[in-house]
Amino acid sequence: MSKKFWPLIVVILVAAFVLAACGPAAADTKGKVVLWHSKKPEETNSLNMIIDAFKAKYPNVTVEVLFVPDADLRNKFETAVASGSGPTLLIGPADWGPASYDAQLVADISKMVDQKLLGTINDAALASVKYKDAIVGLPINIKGVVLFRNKAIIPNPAKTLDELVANSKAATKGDVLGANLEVGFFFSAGHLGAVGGTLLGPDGAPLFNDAKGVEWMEVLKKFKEAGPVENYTDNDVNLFKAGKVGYIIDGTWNAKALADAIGADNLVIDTWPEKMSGYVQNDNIYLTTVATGDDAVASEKFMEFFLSPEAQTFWAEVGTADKPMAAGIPSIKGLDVKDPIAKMAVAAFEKGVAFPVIPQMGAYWDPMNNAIKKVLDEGADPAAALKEAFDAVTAKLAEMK
Amino acid sequence: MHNAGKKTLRQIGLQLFLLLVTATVLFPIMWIFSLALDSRNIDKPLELTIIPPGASLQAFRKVMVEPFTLLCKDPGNPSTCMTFVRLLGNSMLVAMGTALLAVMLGASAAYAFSRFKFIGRQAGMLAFIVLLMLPSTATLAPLYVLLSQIKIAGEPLRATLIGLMIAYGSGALPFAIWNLKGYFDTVPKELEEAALIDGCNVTQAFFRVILPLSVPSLAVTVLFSFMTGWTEFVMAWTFLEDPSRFTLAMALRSMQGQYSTPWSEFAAMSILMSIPIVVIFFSLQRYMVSGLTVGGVKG
Repeated sequence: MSKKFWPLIVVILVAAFVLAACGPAAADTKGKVVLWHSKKPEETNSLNMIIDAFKAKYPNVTVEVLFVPDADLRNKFETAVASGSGPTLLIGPADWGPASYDAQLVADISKMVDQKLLGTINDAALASVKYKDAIVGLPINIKGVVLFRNKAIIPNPAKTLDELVANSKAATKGDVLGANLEVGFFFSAGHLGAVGGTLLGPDGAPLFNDAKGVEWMEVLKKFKEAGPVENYTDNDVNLFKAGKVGYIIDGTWNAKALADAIGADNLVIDTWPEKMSGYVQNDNIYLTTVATGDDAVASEKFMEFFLSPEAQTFWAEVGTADKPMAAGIPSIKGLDVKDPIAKMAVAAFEKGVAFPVIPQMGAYWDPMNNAIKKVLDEGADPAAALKEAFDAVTAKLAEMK
Repeated sequence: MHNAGKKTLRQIGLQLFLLLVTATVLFPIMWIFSLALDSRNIDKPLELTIIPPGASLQAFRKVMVEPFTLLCKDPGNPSTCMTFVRLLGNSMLVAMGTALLAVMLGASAAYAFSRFKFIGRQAGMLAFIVLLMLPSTATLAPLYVLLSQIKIAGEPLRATLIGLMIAYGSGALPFAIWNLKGYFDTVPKELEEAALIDGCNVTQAFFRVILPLSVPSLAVTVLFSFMTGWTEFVMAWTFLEDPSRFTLAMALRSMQGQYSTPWSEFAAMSILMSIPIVVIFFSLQRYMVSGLTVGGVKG
């Protein structure tokens, strides 16, 4: 290297050090974080590790944690924050976000949060925290609907729906079924996104009544070629546990039970074949509106820390029999997860569809499931069934208004 | 059919009906005992096995000895976690405070409603009925706001055990007043008048004549108020924020998970929690006799 570059390098290095010193150092951050949650004991073990690591990084921040039973958390949180007290942070389901934001109980963190961090979050999970141009929370873990496969029955994954049907037909022998797919609305709505359709708009208005909606129904009809279908029953899960089914569609919350039943080596979570997908749900950490000044800054730092690779690794830890840990599925992309089930789920969720968390979603459940039943059980015309569902949803939305 | 045959049939039918009622009453209790003895701590108990395989008192030991790791002031420090004994102490304090508050205020208010004529007397009694009809959750928000306004050493009264006692006491008072007022009405005025002639003033007559004669009603009020303070958890979970102040009912509630519950420990805790209530009931039972005043007035 030429000697004339040395002064330039020195100047650049000095400038870099000065700029780094200008930023808010972790040790300068002070304040009090009060966190309320309703996590299970094993999740609390992971949470405690995350808090310890946060305290080590931010020694001037105090952290107070309060466990509240799941059934009481929302009521306690709403009562407290509405009267000006309560926590600075809350961990709760994603669908609490929009309603709490509308009620001015949780804050918009879009101006505070590190924009680079947002780029690391699973797309579907990130979509669920965006509401009315605000970011109402950060997803701390994800869970959702996936395609489970018993490798002992169907050895290879399918890339397309046609391939899945062919694999299933080939594997159906005696009392063994190639596929027993769930078509209940919660489990099948993700496929609508996979064919390019949209269930509802940001304001809750129905958008499914079009050609893409009809294509979605055709996908569900195709499931029947692969094997019997279920609508909110446990038949598929029970048969899968008994080793009698190759494919089922179910939630990741059942993954451990399925692995225990058929052997972890046989359980596979496939990435979704073409034209198929599932809802991705998440638990969020929310900054409440009672957090102000230093406390708000410290609390926001804790939120960001929860999504750091270090904290997400703690959250994904399975632990030991003596000290079980959360075994959660990380909400950030590219993390090297040790647990094979979680690893497969992360890959599957990359093509997942965000679960709509807005309150208007309540108008969709019954009409949409009725449409599915009419098409699959009664042989109704998909377009007509969707039109009927559209009218019913529109009427319910009007009632809700 | 002969009369004797009809009688026998009727008796058999009656006995069968009573057996059915007994079974219905006993079934949940047997279930709880069976679960408490089940060492498997099963996640979803769907069948009743009276003596479960591997029956043991492990769940009782765990509940009574091990700390409640979810209820800690500092989750990283197990010594700050609540134990059964500490929870029991808080529950006892709250329940006894509630009972005391209900009896003291209830008795004096009931006496006034029973003996004095004043404007709004009828309306006041009707207002208590309205309060009795209200579900306790309806008063939760106003009590929260009210008790949060009062601060003790910078801390809202709402977040203290005294605040909780006041909140429970306010819920127990309407019943206490109605119950005691009804009983005071049955105590003959002549007894009080005799006491006044003997030199007592109204307060002395109340404490020395009316209250001793109203022990059955006082005992019922104490029992019900105590039970309110002992078993309530919704308000407690809303008001309290410091785990060191949590009660047994709150701990029992915290065992119920969204997806799973450790049923053996839950059942063991339920049984342990019911023991003080049973003890109090039996110790008060001898006072719950009517007719103390029968024969008190001649002619």
